Amino acid sequence: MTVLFQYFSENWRYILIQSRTHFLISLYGVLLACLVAIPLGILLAYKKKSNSLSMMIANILQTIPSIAMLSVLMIFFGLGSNTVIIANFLYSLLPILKNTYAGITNVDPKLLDVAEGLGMTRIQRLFKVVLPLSISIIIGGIKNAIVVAVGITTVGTFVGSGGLGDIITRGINMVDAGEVVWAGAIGAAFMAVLLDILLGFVEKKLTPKQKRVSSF
Amino acid sequence: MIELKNIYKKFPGGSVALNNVSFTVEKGEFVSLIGPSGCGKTTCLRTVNRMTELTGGSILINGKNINDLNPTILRRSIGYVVQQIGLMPHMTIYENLITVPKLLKWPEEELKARAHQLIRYAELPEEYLKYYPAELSGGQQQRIGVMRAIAAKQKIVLMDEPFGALDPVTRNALQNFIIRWHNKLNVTVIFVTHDMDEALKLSDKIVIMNKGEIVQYDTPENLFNNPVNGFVEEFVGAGRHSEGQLILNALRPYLIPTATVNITSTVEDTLEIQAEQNSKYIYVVDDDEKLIGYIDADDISEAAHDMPISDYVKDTAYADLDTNLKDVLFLLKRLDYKHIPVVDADNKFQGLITVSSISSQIHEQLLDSHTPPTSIKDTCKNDSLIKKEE
Repeated sequence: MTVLFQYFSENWRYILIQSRTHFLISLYGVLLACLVAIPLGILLAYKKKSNSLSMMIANILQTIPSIAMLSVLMIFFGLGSNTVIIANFLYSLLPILKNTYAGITNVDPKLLDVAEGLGMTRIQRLFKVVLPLSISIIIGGIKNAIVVAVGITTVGTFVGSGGLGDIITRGINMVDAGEVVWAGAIGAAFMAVLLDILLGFVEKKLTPKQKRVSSF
Repeated sequence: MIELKNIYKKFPGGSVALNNVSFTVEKGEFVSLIGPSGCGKTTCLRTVNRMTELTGGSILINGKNINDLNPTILRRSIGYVVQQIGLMPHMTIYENLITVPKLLKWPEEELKARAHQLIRYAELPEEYLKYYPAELSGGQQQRIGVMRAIAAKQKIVLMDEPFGALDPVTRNALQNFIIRWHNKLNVTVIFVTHDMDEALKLSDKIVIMNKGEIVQYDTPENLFNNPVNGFVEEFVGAGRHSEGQLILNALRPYLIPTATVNITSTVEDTLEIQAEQNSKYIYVVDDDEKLIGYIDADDISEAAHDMPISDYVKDTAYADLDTNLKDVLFLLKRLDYKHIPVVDADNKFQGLITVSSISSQIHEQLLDSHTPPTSIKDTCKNDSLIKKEE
């Protein structure tokens, strides 16, 4: 335990830099996936196609083991963080797509009928009714995606991406350096838990209010 | 003025929902569409704001063909009220009320002023503007729904069975609300319902539909007096023919006058009245005779005699004078109310209604229209019965 603290205090700057790299690699992948999966999910929900080709592809992507995915992607994109970002992107598609689809199809069609009857355009219905009522579910999908992405990024060290995985492999390669492995592992786990809590909070915040807040 | 001219609606599946329907609604009129389910009444309503597109014929509003207008613009100029859950659950009452004015980009101050005006029209307290729909009762929500439909000063309102999901007492209160509202604001209303009593109570004219066609379009009186065929006769008379001359839409004849107690009275006064009345419940009114609630004698039997009763008053259900008798009977017979207090339009206590007060009054009404057979003594073989008459 003391060795671990010692490692932390001596290498905190290094750990911090690797954490930052780790976080950004995870984040970029998920953000890219948001750009694709949310509009796609909206589209599929409007067309009511739950088992479309794109959903099937996202489902299959999810089943590929991360190390296999990274290796295959490496063949095309070479070593480095871009490969891991692309892997994160692919793994994030399904949870975001699924939740977007579920959130939007959950909105009561009668409300949409009323909104149309009141004279809202298609876009207004989307932004004033559909998204406010489904945004928390979509955020839930993003939350799941980023937790997975933090894990994938850890493995990403094998294609030379940097991040907390680097610390872990370094610990493995050294003799009698359990504390180094610990430092990387705890860092990655801590990041995943923190992001989960943070986005959980956002999710709760964005859940459509149906009651006044009684005390605060 | 709304003119429907030979409109047709054929759904993609091939079923014909509207077959050559024509009628005209004058400005300020309240017209109900009624008929059995699947008769096309809702489809017909929805063609007016182009929620359903016609496959034939045309609809003119003030002489303009609605097909020449942008449907979104058209809908913003026509109020739309649907069955219960029409309010957006994630928006406050304020946001719900000003939905359409906001789409029309009214300035902020006007939106606020309008919302305050509308909540007053809805006969609800202003602080409700901050509430969410889930915090209001079904009846209150639907008042807001009706107000939302005229928020942008729409002159035409379409209502699709707006009170269908409400309990009888609330429904009746809302019908009265609609009558007051319609008299005051002079909007043209097309109203879909499956309840003939509701249509008769509210409408200037009624369209009776069946299988996508109009059977008769007429005033309530003419539907009664000159039904065009057996279908109309049956529809108008549905549930009515066995009742003879019974008065259904006014409760006054069925009331028992009952002593009440003023809210400022003491426990002792109340117990006295209670002993006189020989009833466990005493109704409480204020200085203007307005109903406040009731006192359960059990609650005050232990209380000090000079205590004021105000702490013991409980809320009560009540009916208006023009509540339908069947609704009252429903409460009495099905929900086991012992009696129901009845108030007038100003909320003043008028009396109680009970199962026995209804039945004795019905007996009177039936006998009123009955001419006694002159031959009763001849046909009656039982001497004791004749003796009793003497």
